[in-house]
Amino acid sequence: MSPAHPRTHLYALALAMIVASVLIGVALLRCQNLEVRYVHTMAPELSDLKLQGVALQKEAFKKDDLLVLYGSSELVKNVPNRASEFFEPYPTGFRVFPVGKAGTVSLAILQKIAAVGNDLRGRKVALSLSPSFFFDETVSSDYYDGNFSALQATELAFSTELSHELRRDAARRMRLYPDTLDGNWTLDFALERLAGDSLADRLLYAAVWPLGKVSNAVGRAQDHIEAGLQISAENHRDSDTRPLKIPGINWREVIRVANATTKRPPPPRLTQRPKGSRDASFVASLTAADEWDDFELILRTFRELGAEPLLLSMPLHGPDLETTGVSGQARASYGQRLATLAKAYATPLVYFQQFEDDPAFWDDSLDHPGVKGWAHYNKVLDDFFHDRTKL
Amino acid sequence: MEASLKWLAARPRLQVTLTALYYFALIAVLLLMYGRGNFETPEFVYQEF
Repeated sequence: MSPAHPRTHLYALALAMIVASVLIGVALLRCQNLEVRYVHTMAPELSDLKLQGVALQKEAFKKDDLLVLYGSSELVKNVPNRASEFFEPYPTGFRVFPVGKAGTVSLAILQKIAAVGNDLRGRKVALSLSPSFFFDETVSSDYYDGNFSALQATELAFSTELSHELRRDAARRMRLYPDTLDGNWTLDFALERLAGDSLADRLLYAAVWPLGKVSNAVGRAQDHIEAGLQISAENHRDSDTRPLKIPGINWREVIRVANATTKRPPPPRLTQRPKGSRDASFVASLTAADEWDDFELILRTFRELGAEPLLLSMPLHGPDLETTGVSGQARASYGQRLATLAKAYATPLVYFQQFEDDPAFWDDSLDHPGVKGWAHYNKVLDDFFHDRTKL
Repeated sequence: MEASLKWLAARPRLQVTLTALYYFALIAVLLLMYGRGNFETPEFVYQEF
């Protein structure tokens, strides 16, 4: 037998790679097409792919009739009037696209927002804040780890849309949770270099930058493929789109019904303490909480990406805190710091402080609005979406 | 067997095509094994529900 032509394998490999590339390209286009077609249908879902991926969130920001709402466990808890369900039939012409689950702290939200990148420019976005995250000095590693996405983190680390200073400050925070970086050499190395910020660090970061971009490209392709597979598997219907006739909402009636039907959650068992006896420790923890730093990173990201954000904060559980020795004066520190930050970044803030002493606002004794709380949240979201009032 | 190989050696285009199919199969297997993304997060016990 004569030996094979010396270039047979070269030609064959090139041919195989070209065919594989074409097929991957066609598959990606098909998956992106499915995302465009079904992103409205997937809006109320809270799957890992939607929360930890990037493709669906980016697609949601491209739609004029979706409002992305970042938050945490309040988005998951099954309560009537929850925004994702309330706006599902497009009562005023849009749907809410919730992103968040239990324990989604600001550092995790920061990465989700950074990963969306330029698709946020000029787009409205709402952020729901849980005050209790600001009561502890450190952010729970369980919460952060449980919401960590390597794809979103890598997008932030190698972003060309965010300033070096912002990526450096984010990297310094992200490196405090080393478990999330195990086995991800590229991300770990990049964050270390960003955090170090010396001349040598900058040179090494530049050296690893192409690898990071390749890693992002692979991650994005996987994200599209998984989204396409999930959509195909769920067998969505085309008919789940915006109705031709928008019914509108009588908000006065919605609030009235919510007030009439809401049930006060049972009061938690608390240890009674003298009035104001825990003020000093409460304010000290609140002042030192890392969550503020992460929240400010989100505000910086919004500003650098040119987004139009709205901040919503639940009230504090006034009576519970009062019982456990935290006075109204100490509790006011939360709202003051929140307002100061929002003002510094010219970001509209709606803080439902007027409900601090109203247990009917809640579904339980945690940061989970009930029927009444969500009715007020929804009204604000609707006003924000339709530019009805200057917030 | 030898006759078949001789026959194949006389057809370089077919040889390239079959080798390309072999490489393509390898690429497909690698993509199936390592190409899927994992978007699951670690389980954690959430105390607040």
